Amino acid sequence: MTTATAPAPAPAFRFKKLGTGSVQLDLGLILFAIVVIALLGQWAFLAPSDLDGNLTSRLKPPFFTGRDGTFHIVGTDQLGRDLFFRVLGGLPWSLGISGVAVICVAVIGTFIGLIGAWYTGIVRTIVLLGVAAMIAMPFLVLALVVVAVVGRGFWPLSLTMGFIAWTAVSRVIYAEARGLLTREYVLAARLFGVNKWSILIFHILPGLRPTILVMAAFFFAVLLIIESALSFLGLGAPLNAPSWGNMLSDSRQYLVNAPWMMFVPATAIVTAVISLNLIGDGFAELSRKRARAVEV
Amino acid sequence: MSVATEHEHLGTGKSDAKAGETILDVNDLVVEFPRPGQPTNFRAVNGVSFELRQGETLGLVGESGSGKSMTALSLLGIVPAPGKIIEGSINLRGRRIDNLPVNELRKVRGNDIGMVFQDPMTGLNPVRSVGSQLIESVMRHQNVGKKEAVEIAYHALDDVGIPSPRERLEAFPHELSGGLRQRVMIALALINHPEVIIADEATTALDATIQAQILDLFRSRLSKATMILITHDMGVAAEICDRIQVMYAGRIVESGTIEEVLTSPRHPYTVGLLSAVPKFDIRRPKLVPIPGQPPTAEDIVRGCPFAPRCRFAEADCDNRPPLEIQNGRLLACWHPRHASEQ
Amino acid sequence: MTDTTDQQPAAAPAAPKGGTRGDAETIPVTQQTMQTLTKRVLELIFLLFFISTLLFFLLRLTGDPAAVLAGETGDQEQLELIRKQYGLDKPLVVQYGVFLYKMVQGDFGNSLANAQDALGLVMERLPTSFTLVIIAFTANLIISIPLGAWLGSRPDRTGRKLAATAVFIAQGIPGYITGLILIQIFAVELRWLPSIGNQGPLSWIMPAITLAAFQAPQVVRVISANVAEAMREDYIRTARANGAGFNTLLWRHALKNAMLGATALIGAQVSFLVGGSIITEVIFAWPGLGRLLVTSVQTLDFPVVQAAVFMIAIFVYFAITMTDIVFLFIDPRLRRQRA
Repeated sequence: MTTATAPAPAPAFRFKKLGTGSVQLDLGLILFAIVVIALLGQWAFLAPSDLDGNLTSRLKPPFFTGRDGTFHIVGTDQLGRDLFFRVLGGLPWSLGISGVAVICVAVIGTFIGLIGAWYTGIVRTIVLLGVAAMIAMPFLVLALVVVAVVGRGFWPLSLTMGFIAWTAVSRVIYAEARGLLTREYVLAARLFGVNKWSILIFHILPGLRPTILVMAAFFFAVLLIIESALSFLGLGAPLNAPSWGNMLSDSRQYLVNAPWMMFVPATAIVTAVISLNLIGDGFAELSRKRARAVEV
Repeated sequence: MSVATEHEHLGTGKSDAKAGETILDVNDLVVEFPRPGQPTNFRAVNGVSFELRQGETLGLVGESGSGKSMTALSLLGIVPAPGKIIEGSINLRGRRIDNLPVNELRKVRGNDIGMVFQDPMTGLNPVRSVGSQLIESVMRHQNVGKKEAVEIAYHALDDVGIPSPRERLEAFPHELSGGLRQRVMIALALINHPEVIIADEATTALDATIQAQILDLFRSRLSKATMILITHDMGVAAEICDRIQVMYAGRIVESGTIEEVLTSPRHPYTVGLLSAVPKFDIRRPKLVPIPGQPPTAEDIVRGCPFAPRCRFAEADCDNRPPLEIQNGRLLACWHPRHASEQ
Repeated sequence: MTDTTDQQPAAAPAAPKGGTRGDAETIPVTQQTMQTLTKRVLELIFLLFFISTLLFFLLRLTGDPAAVLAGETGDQEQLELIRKQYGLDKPLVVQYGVFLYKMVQGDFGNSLANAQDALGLVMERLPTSFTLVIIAFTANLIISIPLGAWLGSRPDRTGRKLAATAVFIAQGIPGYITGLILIQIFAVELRWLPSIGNQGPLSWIMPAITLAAFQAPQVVRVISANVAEAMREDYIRTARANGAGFNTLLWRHALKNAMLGATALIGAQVSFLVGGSIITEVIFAWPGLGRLLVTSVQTLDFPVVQAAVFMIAIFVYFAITMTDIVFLFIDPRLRRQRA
């Protein structure tokens, strides 16, 4: 390491000044904040009737003003429903389902990963074997089959995804926790007879926090994609719910006449996914900077 | 020419130069790195000049960050980006090499100047066999076919004392011990019979016993080679070098033959370095560390860079001392020590 | 590898005596291959057991399986018949045992929709789907590896920064949206390519691109990050000091190391691609396994669903194991590990 390029002191995961120290993270948070404001704002501004269709203005292009004077900024769908309002109305479905799922994923994945890292012998073997096996199975196939049995709707969908997708997280957590468990401060705690759960929660978990944050952001994006995929296949959110996947699915029949029906929900999905990926990248960059600063 | 005669020449250069002839001539070399967010650049190497003569071993000695490795890398034109050579010239047998186009420069690297790096653990590509890395270099610089290149590689390994070299050609770096890997690195540096060999802390990362073996190899195989040995260890330098140049903060501060420097160091920094070397000698006073730290890339140095750590610094040390001959010794100091004052 | 104790050349001064510490025993390739195979087969058995158990209990926990099996049209008489036929009148443990026994034999029963052998139906669809997956997998690697290497070789250059941003944005576009956009451009606007079904080579283009697009950006990013890291390694400096040019450094020294760092990702690609192929097949009305699975799930045709899930698991495991073994032969560190 040449002394010529000494690293700047590492920024913490906090808003110390304006910005977080990572361009990606800033950008991602701004985009995501817009999404969240839209999510919250809809209860204040979106009337249930806004989601209703008006068959006289079916498949109208963007910037269309209906005969009753309603202005449709991004056009309408096959039932004359305003696409902008539908995208807003889809927020609780698309983000809500994947949001609940990502919390399950983080909690279960961390828990199982820690179990695998702490125990040796048969418990670890079973955890590793099970995780390796489950990871290989295409996630969408499993989700598809389970959702078909447990049914559609917000909770069945989000919990199904949460209970299936944790495997990749637990594998990463397992590997990192094994590394942390060999640290001297952990050995010292063990020698002092500290309870294993105290060690895991107070000594190991804080060290895993950056990893969990990064993985949660990326998995939020992945789960959002999967949720939309399931809805797209007609097996996700209830058929009349304004989920983004449902909207995409509807648009397939009208690609020739009304391509905006596809582009509007597609834009919503892509924006959400990119902002979450930006956040994940930003967290990863910050924790790298931090690790480097500690090393030096 | 036959391979067998060739390997006896290993490390003694291509041309039949006479002893004492100047091989490498470095003049006022300056290497700069941009300092992020600051207008002035950091000078890792700051006006270094020296000559290397046929058959001599020159030691570049100094603490880490003193610019000795950067000097070596700039001789090959491989200063890591964003660093750059911005002043000075490097002449190899009278041919200027620092401003060659990259294509020409690549013919110098490994062919005219061979380099042994510090860490044999990371210096070899882990996923390619030892043989393939040697053969790649041979076929790049010598006009030989694959079969001949294999033979050359075999002899190169044999010559640096690697047992069963035939099998070792197939081995991957992780299958060899640290000492063997460093021998491979040396074989790689010598394989194209360079005129100049640079060994950059070639023994630092090794265990003490292995270090002794590698130094043995240097002494037995490379005693007649034209070599630059870079080290922070005065002990290592004392064992191998003919001449020593002490570097501090990108400059040469003292230069002389090994006897001169070891027996009567003049620069306070050299004195400090020597008193920091452990010796099995009860009459000697205890180890004396040099207080403080060398200037870093952030520090902007005026005057003598060693002055803040120097016991003998006075007011005039605020001016930079020139490197000039004082009492027969090349020295950059306003208040040089004499043997009696140590 | 032989040990160092043989033939000590006389010319060697101060050669290390005997077995030096790095020259440890190494495990031969065949043995490692067997270990990998055993491990993967064990995982596969575990997975199949897990899936069948999951399906068995899910079907029974969430209601009357007879009702599910009979579909929406089933009346009381039919239900009784189905209960008898599937042994649903027996105790749960017995049912589970019988169920597992049949699974082991590969007996999935008949499709509820058309009374054909479920496994037969699945096997019929298998080749088209897996050909699509393999084409996408190959295309993905052929495009992503050179692109990733190029991006990672000098990540500070402006052109590469722009390309990296484009790849980042592409990563945010789910494959089904790529598919719809492709249809919109090439089938609807330009009318160059057919958008539906398997109608010869032209009709393979869009599904293959769509499927490859699911994962390509991720592979590019990982390869690029690995290459960038490899280019900073000491062995690159060694090679440079020996006169290696940029292309030698990148393609012969850095890339292989970067690839080996992406082993797990490349193995996992197959799994992702099989998942993606389901959506791709639905978008392009592709007569493959994925569409069969979706239709069967929608109509709750469980024998077919089970057969399809089993075959997918087996295919994915086959592909992952092949990748494992290929990398075992490429990576010297895996091939001859220290004992």
